[in-house]
Amino acid sequence: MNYAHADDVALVAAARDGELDAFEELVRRHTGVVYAHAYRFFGDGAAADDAAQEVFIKVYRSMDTFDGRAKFSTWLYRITRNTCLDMVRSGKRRPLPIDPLDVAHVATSDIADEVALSTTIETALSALAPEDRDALSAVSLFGLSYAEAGTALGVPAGTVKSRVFRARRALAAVLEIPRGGAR
Amino acid sequence: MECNEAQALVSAALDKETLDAASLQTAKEHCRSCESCNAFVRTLAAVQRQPKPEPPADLPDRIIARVRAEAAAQQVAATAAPASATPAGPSAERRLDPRAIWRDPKKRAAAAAWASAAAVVLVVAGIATYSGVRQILIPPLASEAQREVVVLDSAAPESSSQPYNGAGATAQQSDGSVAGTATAASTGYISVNGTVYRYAGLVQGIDSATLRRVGSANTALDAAADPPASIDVLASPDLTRVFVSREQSETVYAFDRVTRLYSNTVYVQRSGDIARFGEWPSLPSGIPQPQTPEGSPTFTPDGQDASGVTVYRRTGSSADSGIAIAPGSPASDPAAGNPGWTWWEPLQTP
Repeated sequence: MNYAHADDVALVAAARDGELDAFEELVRRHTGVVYAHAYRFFGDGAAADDAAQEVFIKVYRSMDTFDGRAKFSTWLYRITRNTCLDMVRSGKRRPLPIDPLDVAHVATSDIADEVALSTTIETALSALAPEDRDALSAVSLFGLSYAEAGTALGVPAGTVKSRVFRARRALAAVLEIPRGGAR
Repeated sequence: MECNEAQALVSAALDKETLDAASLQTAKEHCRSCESCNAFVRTLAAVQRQPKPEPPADLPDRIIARVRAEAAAQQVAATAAPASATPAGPSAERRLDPRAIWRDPKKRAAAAAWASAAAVVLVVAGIATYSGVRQILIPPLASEAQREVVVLDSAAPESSSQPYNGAGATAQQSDGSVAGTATAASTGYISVNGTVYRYAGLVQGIDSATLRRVGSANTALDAAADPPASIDVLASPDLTRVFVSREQSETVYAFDRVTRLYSNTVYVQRSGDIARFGEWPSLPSGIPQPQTPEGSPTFTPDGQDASGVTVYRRTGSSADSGIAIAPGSPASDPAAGNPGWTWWEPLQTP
């Protein structure tokens, strides 16, 4: 069966009935955001790779607990975030320390250089306060609304809004992108 | 319009929040003329355009391969288990009196032989199906130190990954409270004289000569719709494993004592009654629920165990009288998956 056009809830339902092709579609559809969140959490590709695998194994094992009341992406975000936190708590992985000089570098680098800018933005994102980065990730990577992110994070929507704004202010302060620099 | 307000409006607009159109227009005009707000908008644009870190091209395939392997293992378990053990659940039980088997030396010997043979099959099946097996297999009795790190059912408590402040589906605790941090019911616990035991599997034919009655448990076991009833509990000599059986059933449920190590001391988990499978152990009745995620005012951090899990003690007391663990402990932790605080007391050696 071709699941390319099925929505996430339908895919979960089919996967729950044993249709592994449906689960495969979920994996292909969402690996990118899960990996990206984990990458920004750990600042390390190998750890992000491990985390993404763990996330989807957990999703597979706990599909019965997904009741469809929340969006699949809200549920997936929560599992992703918690998996990363668990990996740190269990000592399996540690976020790579961020050297402030790596972030400060942008102000003096040639920001017309797309690669340098991209690297610096990634570093700056990883250097955000964890709760601010989590909120920004929920909204900008997983596409959750403030209310949905609030549900996943266990905080009011207004708190998510504040954290996202704070994250962006922090990025603006550290990146100092001049007129025309970011195109 | 103030810079802060203008930037907040632009930020919210980027996230597709519903905003007052006139206010947003004013904010945009402000950002065009204000250098610092303009820089903020430029940053937003740059970050928005930033491509997200891309996973290795083969990552989805590797994930899918793992999932398919796990699914295959579960299928093996599902087909192996009925041939070697009575499936869980009351409907599958044969209505025989286990006490008759335990009393009759001939039946007891036959049952023990059957159990030994079944155990071999179960162990083979367990190896073949590794950690994804949902049908629990009885491991040999282990030492206290070994047992405290055994995760008997890695498949059931998905919520082990849920930290304290993660929201989600609810899970029932044994004190009737509903915690908002778990996504799955528990594997199966009983409380015997306040000490918590975790479901380890089903056995048929137990040599009762080596067991002794240690009390009763008020539980419906895995019968979700039945009211809890008082059931006699037999224990191994070292009390690390207990056995219970329903009336008129030859199926015996085995449970292992739940322990943890902290500061070179073995602690046993304590809880009030646990009415049925699916409920989690909770704080004993004499210990108030903390009011904050940090445990206050009930608990104060005492230190970390060898796995880095923060261990709490009662405020004003020492860890010698007991320790508490916050929800959200990692999957390898004995309290993994529990959506609430758990309480542990030093093991009293007889």
